[in-house]
Amino acid sequence: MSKFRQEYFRLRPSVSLTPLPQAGRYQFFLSDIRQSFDMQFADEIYITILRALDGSLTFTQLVQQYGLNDQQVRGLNKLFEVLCDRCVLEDFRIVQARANDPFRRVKNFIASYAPYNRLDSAWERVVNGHIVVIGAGGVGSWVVSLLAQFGIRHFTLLDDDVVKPHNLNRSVFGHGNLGFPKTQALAEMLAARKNNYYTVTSVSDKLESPHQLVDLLRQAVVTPTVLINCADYPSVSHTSAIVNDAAFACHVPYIIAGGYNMHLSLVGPTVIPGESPCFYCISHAMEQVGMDALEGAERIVKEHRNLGNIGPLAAISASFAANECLKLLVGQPYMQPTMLGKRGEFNFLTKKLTLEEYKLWNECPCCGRGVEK
Amino acid sequence: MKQRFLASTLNLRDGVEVFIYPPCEGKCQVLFLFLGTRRRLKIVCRHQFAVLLKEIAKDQSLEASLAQAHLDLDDCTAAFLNFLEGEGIVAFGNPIATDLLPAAYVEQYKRQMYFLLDVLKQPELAIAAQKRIFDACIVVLGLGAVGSNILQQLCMVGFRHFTIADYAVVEKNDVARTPYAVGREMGKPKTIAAKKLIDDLAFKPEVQIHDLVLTTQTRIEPLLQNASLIINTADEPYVGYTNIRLSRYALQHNVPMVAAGGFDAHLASLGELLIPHVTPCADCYATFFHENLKNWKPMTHPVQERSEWFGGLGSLSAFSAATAVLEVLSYFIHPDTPSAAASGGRGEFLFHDYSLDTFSVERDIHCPSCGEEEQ
Repeated sequence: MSKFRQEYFRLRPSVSLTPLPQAGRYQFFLSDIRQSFDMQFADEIYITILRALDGSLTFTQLVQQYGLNDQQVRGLNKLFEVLCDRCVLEDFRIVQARANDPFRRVKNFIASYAPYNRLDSAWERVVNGHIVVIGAGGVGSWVVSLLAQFGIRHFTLLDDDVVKPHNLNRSVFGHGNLGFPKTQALAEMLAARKNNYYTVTSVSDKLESPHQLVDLLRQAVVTPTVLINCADYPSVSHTSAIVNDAAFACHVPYIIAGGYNMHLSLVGPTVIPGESPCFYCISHAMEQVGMDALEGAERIVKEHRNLGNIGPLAAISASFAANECLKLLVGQPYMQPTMLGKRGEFNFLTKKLTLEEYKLWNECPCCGRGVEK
Repeated sequence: MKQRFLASTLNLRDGVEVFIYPPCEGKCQVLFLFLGTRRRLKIVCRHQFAVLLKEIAKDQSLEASLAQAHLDLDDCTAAFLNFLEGEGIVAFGNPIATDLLPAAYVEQYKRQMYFLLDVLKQPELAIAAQKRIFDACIVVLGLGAVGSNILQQLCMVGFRHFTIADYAVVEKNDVARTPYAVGREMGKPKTIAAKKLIDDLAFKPEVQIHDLVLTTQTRIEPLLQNASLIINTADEPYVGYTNIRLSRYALQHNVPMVAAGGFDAHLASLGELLIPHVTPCADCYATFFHENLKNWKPMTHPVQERSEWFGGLGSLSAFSAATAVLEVLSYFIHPDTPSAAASGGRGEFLFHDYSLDTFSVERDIHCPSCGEEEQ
């Protein structure tokens, strides 16, 4: 008999089952993530069962109701195994506890990647993640806002600035936050969204050195799980190098968010120390390309520049960083960060993201050792 | 003409980086990189003009820059300066100084105005675009996941007159996809929570609120009568219905409309800007989908109450809202050439690999709503 005897399976509500022109062929469309796959059915009884699979009957009851023979029972068992693994079926008894969960939409979304019986462990990694966001300005404030919407509870925010009027055009701050530290404004925003849910450690310092960041990470009560660099002062290269060094010292993955001054449309890489190209690998490769294009040219730079930016591009940059963070937290085998070894430019006219791929640099001071030449 | 150059300070614009290549036979290649738009422009000019560019980047008068470059303000130099100004590489004085907008508003939105300058090149065009945004009235129907995010970002780009409508109250699950202060606003109408959001973000906002659901019986005229642009995110009773009803009104009254995405299978859908008699209307889109999906007939789903079991992510709502607001911004940047702001089609952003699934949609010449105009 099947291992599924007591499960009350149903076709997940966000999955469509559609007949295709070829006889016996059907498409499963996971609408939340717009992914589909086809299956060929030799016996229409399985489609009859799927069409009525509303979570009201156990596997055993299904076998009885449809009068399945031994071969059909084995077939149904195998079919359910495959469809559970592909996130098409779920046990209604287990998922119904989600009905009143304020983050049920997020769980439902993740359930398109993680099978129903492994969703809780994936969710635990999300909700108990501790995200360290360095820089709480235009992109950083958006990143914190979006991660909190995922249900992530623990944040450490590092920023030494206060909210000014010209910040309001692309950060999530309002007039009521003017003059207050950005980290404090974000902590208050999260508290107003869900009482006593989020824990925020605010650090009103400028990012100065890897040692400073390492100390901060090691002192944290909840072990940090992801670092996100949203700081671009004095330059994004400067801050990213610091974050990289601290991340390697503490073996924590990090994301370079993008959307900075001068890089409004940049979508930065995600780095898992020792596994994917790091900041130095990517910088080295970029320098090689940049040197070809600009070799010998003198760069004219004005000091104290007021560069342009707009809110929607900050939101878009932050959305990519948030997605990457979720993928890191949910983790393999369900979600793989897209930006590992990649750097992107979002074209705000075509809305398309162009990705450049980078490899590990075999002379990288951080991850060069052991890289095959 | 030449005196105009000397009467004001001339500055290299902050949003432009200049790369000067070594001179060759008295000429230089110069590359201009526009940081906001990533546009690149490469020219070849006299070496002295390249020196002049370096001097203009310094905090000094044009006379001093000309002297350092050993140039007179002759016709050739004036033509070069005119070229730099026309391309948005240099600007006279403060390029966003204006009497058309309140000083505090300019202070709040100056970074965006610099961005508009990157796109439009000319200060007067950038200021005029921001003024149109300042004056416009935006109607937002539906204040859920995407509607609230759109509203938030419309405030960020400088809109301040709004008419907003929704029938629902703030629920605890809104914490996952809206920017509302859900802990404080739970149980209150979404229109109230949205108004508070606008009050906190926008510059001296003026907001009309309507607590209603769009049905066949709803009189929409009072909602839409002052609209400069309509944004529809209302998916009750059905988003196809609300889009068509509003689109027909928009056609009659020559008002642009955004049919936003962000629901069910369209969590990170790009917004569709519908410009009357320029782009396809909602009826054209409905016909297109009817035709193209006529052979795709999902079976009746065994679970009857499905709506609460769809997934959603705040990051996808924010993305979908941002692309819709970019469409709106594009429309207000190009008022005289609406076709530059929009073309028919839809895009679906895919979470797993960040690709964009796009297809174009043409105007339907037989469209019952907008086709007669074409004929």
